[in-house]
Amino acid sequence: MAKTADICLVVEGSYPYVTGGVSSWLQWLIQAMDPLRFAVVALIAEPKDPSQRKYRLPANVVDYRDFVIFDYAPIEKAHRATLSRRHWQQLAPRLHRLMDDWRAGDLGDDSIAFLKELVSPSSEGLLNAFLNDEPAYAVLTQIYEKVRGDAGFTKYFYNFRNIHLIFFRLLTLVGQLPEAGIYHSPGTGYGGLLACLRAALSGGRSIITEHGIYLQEREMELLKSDWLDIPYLKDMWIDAFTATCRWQYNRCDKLITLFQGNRRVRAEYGAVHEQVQVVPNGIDVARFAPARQPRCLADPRQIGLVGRVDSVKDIKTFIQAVAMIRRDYPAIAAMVIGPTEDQPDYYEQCVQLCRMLDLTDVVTFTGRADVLDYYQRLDLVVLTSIKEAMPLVVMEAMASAVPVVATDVGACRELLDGLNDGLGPAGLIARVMDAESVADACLKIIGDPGLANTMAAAGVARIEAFYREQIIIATYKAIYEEQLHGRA
Amino acid sequence: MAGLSLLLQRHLKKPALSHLGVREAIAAFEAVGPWFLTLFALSVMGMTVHLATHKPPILFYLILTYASAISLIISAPLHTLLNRFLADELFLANYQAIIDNLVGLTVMMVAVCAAVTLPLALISDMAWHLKLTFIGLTVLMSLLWCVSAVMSALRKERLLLATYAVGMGLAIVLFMLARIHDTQAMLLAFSLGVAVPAAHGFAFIIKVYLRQAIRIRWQFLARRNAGHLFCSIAIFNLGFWCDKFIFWFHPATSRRLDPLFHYSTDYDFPFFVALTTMMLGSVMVYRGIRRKVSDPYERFLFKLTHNFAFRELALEKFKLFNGIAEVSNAIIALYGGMVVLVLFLVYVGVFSLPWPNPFVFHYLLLGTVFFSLYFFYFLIIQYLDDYGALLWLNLIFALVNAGGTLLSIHLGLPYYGTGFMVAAMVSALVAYIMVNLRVGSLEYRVFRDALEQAEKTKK
Repeated sequence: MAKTADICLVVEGSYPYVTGGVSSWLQWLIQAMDPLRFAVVALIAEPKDPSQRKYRLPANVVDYRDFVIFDYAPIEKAHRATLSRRHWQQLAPRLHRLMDDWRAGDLGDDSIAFLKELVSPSSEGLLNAFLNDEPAYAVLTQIYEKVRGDAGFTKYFYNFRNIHLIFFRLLTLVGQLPEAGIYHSPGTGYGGLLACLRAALSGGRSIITEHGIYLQEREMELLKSDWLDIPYLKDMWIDAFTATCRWQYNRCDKLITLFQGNRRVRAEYGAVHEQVQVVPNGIDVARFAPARQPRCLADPRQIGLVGRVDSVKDIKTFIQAVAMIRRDYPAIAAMVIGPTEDQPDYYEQCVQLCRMLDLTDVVTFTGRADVLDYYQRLDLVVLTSIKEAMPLVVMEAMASAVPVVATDVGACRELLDGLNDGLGPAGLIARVMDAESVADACLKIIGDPGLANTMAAAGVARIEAFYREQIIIATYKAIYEEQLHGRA
Repeated sequence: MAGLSLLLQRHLKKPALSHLGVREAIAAFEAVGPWFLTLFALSVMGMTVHLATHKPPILFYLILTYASAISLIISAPLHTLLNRFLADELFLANYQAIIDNLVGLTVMMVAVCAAVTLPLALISDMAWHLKLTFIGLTVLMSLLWCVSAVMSALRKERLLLATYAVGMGLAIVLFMLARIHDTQAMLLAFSLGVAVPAAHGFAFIIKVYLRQAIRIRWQFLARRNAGHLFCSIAIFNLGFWCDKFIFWFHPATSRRLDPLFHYSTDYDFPFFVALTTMMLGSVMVYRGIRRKVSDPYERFLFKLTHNFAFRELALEKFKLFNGIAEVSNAIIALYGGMVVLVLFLVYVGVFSLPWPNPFVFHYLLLGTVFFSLYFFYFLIIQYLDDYGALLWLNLIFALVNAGGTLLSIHLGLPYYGTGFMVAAMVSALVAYIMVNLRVGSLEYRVFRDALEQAEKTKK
């Protein structure tokens, strides 16, 4: 692992330690891009052992580095740089300009030059001074008066400090990234920021592939959080993430999104519509071809939700919908196909709900299973998630010729209805957290075998036309070539 | 309704000027009462003996002065530590810590005082019963300072003053009734006077705060920056006494009773009078600290811990600045004015000085104006828990006082007292700059200290 990489993937909190959509996509991308050489930088919350990795690094990964993002010891323990009052008088306007530029989402030449000074090898001491010197405190109070003068100061101070500690930590990491032609991050956030900073300060190209909408997700998380007990503290974090994302959208050389809807939403957050390229996920269509069968020909009708038992998948709405379907169509069997151990409390609540609704004979929790077997048997796949990007399960169901009922999240509508491709719907869209809407859509499909099979055929046609992995691999290769060539 | 009208009446009632006067007098007496009570008791005893025997009781005064100096130098650093520790513990409502640590300090004080005074007593040529009385009085006085520190932390200064008055009254009554005029008997009578407030203090604390079995603890020694605080208070007391020690033991100015007990006729009496005059300045200092520093600082901390907006913190800081300026002006204008008036009256011959050197009193009295300022700023810095700065400040005072005093003795009689005056002036100036810097960056320092503390806790 000593060669220079073509592409450095900067990944936050997922690959290779956590399984999931983004991690699977990254593993697939690295393997598919061979012979391009990859370096992987994992930004993790706490130190981890290599044995904890859930993915084996492909052979074309030539460099791998873990960075504990919340490890502030290098800054806090660094010998504080001695800055004279005069030095601070020169620094203060530059700091103010940098922060103003940052808030505006566009760093000028002066700010970039200043940031370059901050990522020098001895930057820890300087950053320590920015956190602890009295003039730095004066800068903080000036910003406070300008931006949030009515807010409680003590909590503002600690929140401000915590936000900046993370950004300072990222600045210290810029110089530690491996050499590469392209810095690619599967999302904005800290990974994307680090990739863009490295490209902006030390050369190279930056690419961001947004799977979901990072800013929206953080915003939802922060609004629900308990650790921030006052609204303005949440606003401070949201503002920080907004500024960060906006700058990344402006700065990155290529911004890729998975679906058109995402592109529109991203434009609301500041990305220029024309600069965003849509590259969807792809799947191995041939793998699912054996599962294709005529649907809804025999009772009981088999309805499945493929996914882990997790509150974000809103399994409870699915169970309630099953109870409503049974009232009108008693001959049904429902399955939840996926691991149940991620959220044990939630799983227990789901089991109790089944008992309450007298569905113990109807709903089965299969646990982790080979989905291909189930795609062969199912008459309908249901997805009740409250949040998704481009759900693989919908694509797999479509490739297996199973009609789908999905909530109106992420790319579901685009996948099922198509983008004016004339192929017809591959399923029906229901409202989020609306069991009645889900049940109505399911009843329409399972009660009409003709409709079910027409939708199944449309799904197969759409997947084969637009979402085959060969198409996606070719698109990414072209993007990488373009960026690497541009660099040359 | 009746209750409401009563409250309304109370609020609408304008206090009479005489009321205000009485209140201020009581407050002033609370601040410096023990000094004047002691002075009164010693004057009564001294003058009576002088009248009866035609000789001043020099040894009695010397033993008392030595006991005061030694007990203050030894106990002040420790009881200040205890006082600051208890302030934190009382805020946390940890009342058991009061008794446990007071008992810990008492044990320590008895041991240390005995260990220091015993070798000193061996140097002296006095009879053994006097030596033992000297040791006993030093220990007793140390315990009184300690219990005073605790009573002060509990805001029971008035009660302490009352028992102190009772103690001194008892000493005078005993002295009068027994018609005693030998040193040993006078010392024992005075010891009784000191023992009353000390014993009452202990009894009060135990009665009110004893909830479970006493465990001897020395937690106050483990307080953050305890070393700095200990050294700074020790150096402050050494600095305050060093000019006296130099005058006592310098061949040019020393009068010798025995190898241990020395005094200086050129310096001691003028200094004693100047110090007594300075008690008026001290009233302003203590009242100023309570009203103009402590209150806005407490409010500042309250607002800081309750997440008020920055402008609210700035408001309290502004009040703190104003309060410091007000007290400083009061010391300079009122006390300084009074000092100038006294010196003028001495100059025109309204008062005549009972010592031959007229310069020393002028220097010392002027010095007390600056010393009051220095002491005021010293208390503010101590209040802000900046013990590093305090250490430097007191070191400057001690060094300038010692150096200046030696130089003044070298220069001759007309310069006696300039060492103390210059030391007080320099220290007041340095302390003023320190206070300005510290209060100016008060919030920054509070946050920095909190972060450092958190960092240490994390480690």
